[in-house]
Amino acid sequence: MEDLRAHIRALERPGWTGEEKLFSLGIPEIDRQLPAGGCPPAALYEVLPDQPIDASAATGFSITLLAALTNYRKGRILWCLNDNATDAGEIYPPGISQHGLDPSRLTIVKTTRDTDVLWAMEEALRSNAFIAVLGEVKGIPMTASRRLQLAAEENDALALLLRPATQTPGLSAAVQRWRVKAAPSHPRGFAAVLNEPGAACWHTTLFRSRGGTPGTWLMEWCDETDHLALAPPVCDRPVEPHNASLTG
Amino acid sequence: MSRITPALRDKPFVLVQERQARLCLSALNNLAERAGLAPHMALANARAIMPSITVHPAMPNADGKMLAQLAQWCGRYSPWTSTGKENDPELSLEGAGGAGIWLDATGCAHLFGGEDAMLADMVGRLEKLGFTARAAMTDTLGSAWAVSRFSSNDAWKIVPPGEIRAALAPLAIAALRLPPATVLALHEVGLRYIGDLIDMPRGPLAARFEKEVRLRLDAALGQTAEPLSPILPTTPLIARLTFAEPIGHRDDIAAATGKLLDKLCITMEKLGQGARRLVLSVYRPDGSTARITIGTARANREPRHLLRLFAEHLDEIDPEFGIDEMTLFAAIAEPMTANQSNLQRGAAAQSTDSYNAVIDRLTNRLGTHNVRRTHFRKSHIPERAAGFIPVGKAKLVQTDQRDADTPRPLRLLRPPEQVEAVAESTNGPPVLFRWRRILHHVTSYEGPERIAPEWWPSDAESPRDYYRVENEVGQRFWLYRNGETSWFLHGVFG
Repeated sequence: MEDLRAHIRALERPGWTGEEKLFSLGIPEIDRQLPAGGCPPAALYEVLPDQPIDASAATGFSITLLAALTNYRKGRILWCLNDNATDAGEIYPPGISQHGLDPSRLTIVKTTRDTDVLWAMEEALRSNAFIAVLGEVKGIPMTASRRLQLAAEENDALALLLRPATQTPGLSAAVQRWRVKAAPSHPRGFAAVLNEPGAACWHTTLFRSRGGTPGTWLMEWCDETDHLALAPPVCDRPVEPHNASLTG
Repeated sequence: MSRITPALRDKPFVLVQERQARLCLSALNNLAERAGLAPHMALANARAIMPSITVHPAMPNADGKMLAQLAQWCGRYSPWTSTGKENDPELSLEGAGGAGIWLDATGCAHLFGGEDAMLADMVGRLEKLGFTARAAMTDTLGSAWAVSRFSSNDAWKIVPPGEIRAALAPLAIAALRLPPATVLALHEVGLRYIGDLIDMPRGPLAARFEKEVRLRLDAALGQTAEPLSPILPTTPLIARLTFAEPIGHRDDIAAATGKLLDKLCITMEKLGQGARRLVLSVYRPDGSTARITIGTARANREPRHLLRLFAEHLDEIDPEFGIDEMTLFAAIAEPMTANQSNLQRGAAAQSTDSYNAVIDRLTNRLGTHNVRRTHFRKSHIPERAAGFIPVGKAKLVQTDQRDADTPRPLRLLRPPEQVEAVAESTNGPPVLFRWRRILHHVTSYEGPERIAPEWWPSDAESPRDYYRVENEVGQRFWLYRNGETSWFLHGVFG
């Protein structure tokens, strides 16, 4: 079975040697569910917020993914901002830095149209100057995502689509598609006593994983240790959030 | 005028303008001039001399525009063309051929097969467009002005180097670009020709007349400098292509651009230069022009890369009825060392090269201000402390001081959005707030973090108290209170 998989992959990707370096989000439980035991650094990823107001959580998760990539290899990152896709403000360098990604790696492209974002992403991927290219796009047709996936594979760079919340995300050639939703944090120690927010928590759903099995995890991002982990089961709060009628 | 209505060509014809409540002639054609009419003459007098003249009102603004357009058209001969407005703002378009175009033809004539051939081509083409042109090529601006307007009736004249003095001597004093009053004053003392002035001692001349007389005379003789444009490269980086048949197809234009780039890049390589800004001009047979400008992040002379930058914009050129000539000019060039072969260069250098190349492509399509780098400033005000500035301007990217104590949002709203909020007390944290029509209950908070405004702007606002709050479903916001009761949402956390 493994041989067959390797054979198919070799057919799909000419020049593939069978020895692929992978990077990891740092959670063994997730890696175990991925086809090769980790995330391929030359592929297309997609991140969607669950509700419009979760856009910041989706941004946070995307940055965590890029930060995990920079732990594996160094290089520049292109970020295509698109006001029409994410109506939640501009990314803020100090905040990105606190999320474990060095903002001086970033080159920003400001656009207002999906077509410009997709063009810029493909140019950047084919230039070999970036290790990762993130684009904020509203919607993307299957052929366009296929193009990006091919460009990412051929040029050994990661492409990441950050999209607005939608119930019908459509088809995509992305190897991993994530849906992210904010979850109440679990303050510990002094923070709990002072009633301060704890480390950020996200409900993440890997709803498509090429060659792997989908799954749902509750993750916790600790900004003090730059560490992503599964949130421990807690007793003082419900793990499941109240149904988000207020978040409309 | 006679360009638009050919019938006027064979009639005495004048343009008139109101001056001191009288209609005066401002311009006239050859036939009218031969009949003895002259500029500045009152229309009534002119009618008395020649009753059959056709009269039209002058349109100085339209003339000025036309002249500027023509100066652009002359870009096919030399990259440095000027209507002379910059040098002589008070110079009117009227009078003895006030209107003219200056070209700095240094190093350009060989493209046309010599100076004579270049001027012949120029006058011939202008004639086809309906203009009667006179051209002169000399060593200085002033003498060119004089010779072209006051010399014999030849359509063009070339004064060889060192013979300016002889060429200027027989010309009338008005040829020195002097105001009419000064010319009159010189006439009164019997000085009529430039030759009368040339050998006079400069001291008494300057004392007796306006300083201008001496300045103009010395400039025309080349004894003082009179620059046309501030930068005069010895060999202009220009390539030129003329077509026997006008071209119009996009592929043809692209192919021609490629050829021009090849030519220009070879020239630049010889001179050790690389282009930072390139201007592609196309010339249509009717005298109109169009241009595209591209810029690069670093000096570059790679034809394939530059062609890709142009390819984005070629659709902006409307060939109309065809293009008969194209020029490519390196408006900004910088010294550039020869390329090392890739074998000897590190992977890092290659990555920088490809980075510069892709930045060029992005900026040329999306605009320079839309391709940015992160930038930190020394400020406590969050919206001032960090942001993005165009890549070209980011000379120094400071590394930030990561401050773990004060949380900062992932996305910042510019400007902050006002929210309705209810607080525990006038100094306390918010309990609930409504942002974009959604009500959020605060379950936990951190703060306040007081950020005082900078004291130096006159319209300094009151200090802000920032809170990081989390709502019941785990979304996190950065809110601040400004004054007693107004609350703003400034950012969102991941």
